[in-house]
Amino acid sequence: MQFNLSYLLQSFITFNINAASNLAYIVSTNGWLLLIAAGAIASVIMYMKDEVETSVHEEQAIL
Amino acid sequence: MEYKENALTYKRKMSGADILRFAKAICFPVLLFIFAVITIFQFAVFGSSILAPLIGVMWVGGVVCALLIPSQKTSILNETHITIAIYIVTLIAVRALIKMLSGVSSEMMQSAFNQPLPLTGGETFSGYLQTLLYITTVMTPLGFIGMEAKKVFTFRKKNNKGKELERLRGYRYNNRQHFDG
Repeated sequence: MQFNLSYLLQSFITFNINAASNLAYIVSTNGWLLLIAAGAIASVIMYMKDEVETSVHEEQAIL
Repeated sequence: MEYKENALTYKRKMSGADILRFAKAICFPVLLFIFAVITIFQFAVFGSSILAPLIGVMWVGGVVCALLIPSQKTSILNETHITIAIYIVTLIAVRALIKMLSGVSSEMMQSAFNQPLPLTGGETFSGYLQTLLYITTVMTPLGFIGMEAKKVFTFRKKNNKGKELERLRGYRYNNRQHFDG
């Protein structure tokens, strides 16, 4: 069996397109999943904001 | 090092620990979201009609509470995510138990104990587990929302402008953050 990278890449892309379409269908049929997605996005934003506020980036003149 | 005109400056770049913290901040909620969606679809109609709204209400409730009590934001968010994760794991475990026990009949129990048993005794155990599933499904989100509401009321009742200023001054003098219990 000949190993063909282009077939592997094509099947990987097709799998991901299928997964994204399935997720889009699921979210469009069940509105409550949008609420869960909104909660997840809000959590990510709040965590990131907390990390950005607490991380320190020093910048100082040497001479 | 960066060279600006007539000045040599040192700029600290992001370390590996910083990148890991940012990655955790993004990955934890996203993985929990994926886990929740997979669980909802494993439970079919029960999941899409009951679990999805309850998980959504829990998550949004936790986020709203974290916004209303900024001093406890991180702990409230962590608590929300851990509660949702444990809730989902419990439901999956109970579902697996029901599947296991649905194959056990009262005749099998009689042969195991080598004595007569009431016919309804062995068959209703999976029914008890189904009741447990319903109770867990509904009571956990209700309990969580009640707990977050109580936190908000307690914080709003106890806090005022004077206390908030004391909390902020506490950073300067004590280098400690004041957490309301």
